[in-house]
Amino acid sequence: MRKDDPGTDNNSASLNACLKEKRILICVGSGGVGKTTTSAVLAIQGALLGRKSIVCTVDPARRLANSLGVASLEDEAKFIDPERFRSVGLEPLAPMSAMMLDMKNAFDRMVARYTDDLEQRKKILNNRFYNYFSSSLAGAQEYSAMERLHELYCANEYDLIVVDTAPTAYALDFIEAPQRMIRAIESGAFRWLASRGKESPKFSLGLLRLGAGYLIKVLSVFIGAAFIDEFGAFVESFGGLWEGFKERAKEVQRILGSDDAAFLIISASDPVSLHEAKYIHQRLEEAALPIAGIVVNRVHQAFVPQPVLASDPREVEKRLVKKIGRELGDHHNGQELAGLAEHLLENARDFHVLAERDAKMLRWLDQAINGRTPIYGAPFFSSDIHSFAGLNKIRREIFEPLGARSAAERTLGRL
Amino acid sequence: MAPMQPNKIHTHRFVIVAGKGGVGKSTIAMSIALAAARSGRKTLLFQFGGQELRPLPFGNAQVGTEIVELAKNLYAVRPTTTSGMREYALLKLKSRTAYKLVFENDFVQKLIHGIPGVNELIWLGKAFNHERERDKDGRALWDTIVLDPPATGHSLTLLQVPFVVRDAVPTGPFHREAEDTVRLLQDPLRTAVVLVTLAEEMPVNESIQLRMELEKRMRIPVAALCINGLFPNRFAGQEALVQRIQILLEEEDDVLERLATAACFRLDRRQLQQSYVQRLDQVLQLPTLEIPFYFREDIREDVIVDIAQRVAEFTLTRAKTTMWQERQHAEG
Repeated sequence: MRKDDPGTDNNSASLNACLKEKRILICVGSGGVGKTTTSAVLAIQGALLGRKSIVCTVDPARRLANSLGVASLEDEAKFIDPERFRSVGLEPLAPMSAMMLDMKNAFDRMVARYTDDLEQRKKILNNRFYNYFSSSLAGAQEYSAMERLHELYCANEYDLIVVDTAPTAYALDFIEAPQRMIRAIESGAFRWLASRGKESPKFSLGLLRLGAGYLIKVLSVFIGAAFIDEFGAFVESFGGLWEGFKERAKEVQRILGSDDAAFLIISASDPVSLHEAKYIHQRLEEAALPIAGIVVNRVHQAFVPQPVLASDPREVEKRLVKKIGRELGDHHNGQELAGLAEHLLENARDFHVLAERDAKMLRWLDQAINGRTPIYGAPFFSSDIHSFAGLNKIRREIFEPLGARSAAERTLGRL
Repeated sequence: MAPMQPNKIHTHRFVIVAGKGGVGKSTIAMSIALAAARSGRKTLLFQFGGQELRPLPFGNAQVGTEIVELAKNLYAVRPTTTSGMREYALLKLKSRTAYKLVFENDFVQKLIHGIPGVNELIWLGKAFNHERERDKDGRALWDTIVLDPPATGHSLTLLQVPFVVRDAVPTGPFHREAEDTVRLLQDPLRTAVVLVTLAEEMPVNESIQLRMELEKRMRIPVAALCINGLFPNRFAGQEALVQRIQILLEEEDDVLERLATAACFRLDRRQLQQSYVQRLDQVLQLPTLEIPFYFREDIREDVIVDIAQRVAEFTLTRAKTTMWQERQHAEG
């Protein structure tokens, strides 16, 4: 079997199966763990497996765009030239595309979709709150990502949509931010605020006892009457939009919990990231959402076996002289090679510490999740990923099996 | 005479540690706080709420919504939206009953949590209130407050919340709060924003963008750049020799070859890092504090102490980078 042959390797079967069966794959994880790159790699593998794939990033990742051979990633999907695949000896069985989520654009489109009335549309698009809300505030990105995902899903143009989510303060904001929004809409709170307390909220007995007038008064002391007026006007201008928004959010929640979707947790190999990954895993399980696997990037390798680290530098120096002393010629002065041997060992010890840490942490993670979810690993490279060949290198690492135990074995015991 | 701008990071009253997730922001924030505390300043490390997954590396303390003492002069707190709001509301309403009736009401909870940006606003507002706290003699309760924003996500989102509120709400208490916060953020005498980054593509790009947004659009000055995780050079002056040896040993499959490969791995990474260090220096021209990568199993107290020492010795000048530019000039 060829190493590059996709989809026939037993050990990576489950992730390949996901890529073949699912329509949506959501990559979640904390910031700086290689989420965007991994998402692209998954879409590449999808195309190799014959699925018409698209990767939807949240970052204007220029280097990724270059690696994929497009000038930039934009809100409109761009085809990836199959020649890119061929340049590394691969043949895609289906086309691959890439795009970047433009938050503001997604919001404006949403407004256009739900409002037929041109006057109302203009009123919303010019509202100060709307402009801040749609372009900058925390949580807004999640709402718009959700909107865009729904659009892509319903357009039915792609077999596989890989979504790279924005790093958030809270692990599952991608799902939870829209949920909070739904709850606020359903409670009638926004509408109530829009009426400045005149309209009585439907489902709040406690509030009826309290008196809506009193509540508005207290809130005015707290945040100011002007704020309530302004925000109320904003809510009002949205009018029927809230309902449409709510329906859409609920629909996405339903899709994410269905057999059509799966989550992939992306992590780096350091303890902080892996603790975060474990926490996300726990939260996804609690929410009964399907988890396809955990990808751990930047796994360090131990270059030499443990016993070598304790070698006498003089021994290493002697062997260096014996082996390449003649070729080195003018460098063949004892002192320089002696110093070097010492440094070579120190350097190897440095990396061994990290390799051992990673192996230990991977075992910890595997145990912490009771081996319920497959773990895939990609090594820490000495260079940035800046080409399609680089992406393919990661692809092979992920789809060549690791699993926590074998990753540990590989980092520690291969040599 | 006009007050002098503090020439150290940790001698500012308000230190905001900003940057992309995964760059070691919390470690740097912790170290800055320790440096401040050790210089005799009463210091509060102010972390962003939410799930705390691991204890702090310093004092091994679990930090929650109540302020805890980590060491002499060093305190930490990790407010949540709920705890922050309770404090703020009580401050404004001055009545626990009113608070309970209104803010613990399910309807109000849903309303508040449904508004984007609320978490950030409350968090920042609470930090700001600590800055204003005075003891009975009218002295500031805290000499230094170090803000450690969300572990992930863009610091920009957080810092622009008061601007959004100030501009969107014409009058009232929210407006005044927001305006006061903006003024504090823009004041270089009181506030120091420290950008933390790794010498890697995405964090570097984001740092450059963040600086631009902060200074051009929000008029918040950036005091310093902190480049974290730089590989110390184990092969100073021996780079060429290492590369030569690796080429000579390439075909071999033994321990010597692996040692050489490991050495080249280090040198390649270092070279990559150095190229980003130079790019940052050329584009940002900020006083730059370089923090080495620690080849450790975990970040523990000794590492924090070491970084705190570097913070304490670091002065906010461009001397180092000017030297670099001169060198470039001479070489060029």
